[in-house]
Amino acid sequence: VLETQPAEQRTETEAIRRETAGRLRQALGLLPREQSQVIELAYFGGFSHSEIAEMLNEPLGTVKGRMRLGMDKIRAALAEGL
Amino acid sequence: MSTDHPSRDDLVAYSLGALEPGEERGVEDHLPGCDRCDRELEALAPAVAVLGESVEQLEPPPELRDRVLAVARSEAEPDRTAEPAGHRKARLPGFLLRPATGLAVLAIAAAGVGGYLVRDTGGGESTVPVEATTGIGGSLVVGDTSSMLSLHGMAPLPRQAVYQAWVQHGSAVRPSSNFIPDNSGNAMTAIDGHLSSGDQVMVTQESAPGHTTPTGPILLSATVD
Repeated sequence: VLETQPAEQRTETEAIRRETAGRLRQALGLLPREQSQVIELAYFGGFSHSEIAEMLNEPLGTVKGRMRLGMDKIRAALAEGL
Repeated sequence: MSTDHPSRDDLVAYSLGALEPGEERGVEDHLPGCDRCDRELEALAPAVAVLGESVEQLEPPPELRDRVLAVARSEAEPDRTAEPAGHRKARLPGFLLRPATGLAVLAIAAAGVGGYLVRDTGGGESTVPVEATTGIGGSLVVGDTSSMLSLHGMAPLPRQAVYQAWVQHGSAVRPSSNFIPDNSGNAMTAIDGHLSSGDQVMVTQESAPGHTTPTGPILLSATVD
């Protein structure tokens, strides 16, 4: 997509992307640690929910629930114009 | 399409690449023709996409890429090109698959050259030796907003244990990423955030993820000059 945009627009797109990334980091930081932790371990760490449950010594359902709650909060933050 | 809908929890885990392979196949068998689950995944997609954008993508300058790729082709050992830490990353949508791809090659090649921290300053690069315990080597490619740590010679971990990267800035130490090595002892992990001169990246072994301060001995460190 970027290749088809003029330089000025590309700069603006990049600025928006960086702004969004910064705010997303803030949103992740605002999540309860137990929610951001399971999302980070899954998405950035590459662990399955079963592996995360084992590592954290938590029931699988708890880990799944934390993922869902955390992602719902990120969705809500996006809807509010993250 | 199977008739039983996956739970929302499982759809969220699917979107994060966190289902076990069998569970993932079950969801994928169900999805074709199911508008309800399709809508749910579509609703999740922006949140997953923005996760990937939360870590800045790094693009090394062409001269650095060319130089290190040339070294990689001529000198890097085949087993150093094993996949990064985390045996499931190959099917993940996460940033480790995308922006890290080029840097992975650079970091592995740098490790082959002799275990140096390679600093990309934008207009060139400088090297700083990595200090590590016997048998561990690696490199750190430092970018403006995130860096990539690539290691080899990492010992297998006990169950539930992880390697943990830390960043020391002045007297403050912040936790960075958790990672596990592959079967060859190779590992790769991203260090999020800008590293300043004097900052030190360290790695410890921890009994479980989630520690906020190091509890194990420092296995490797690299100080940004």
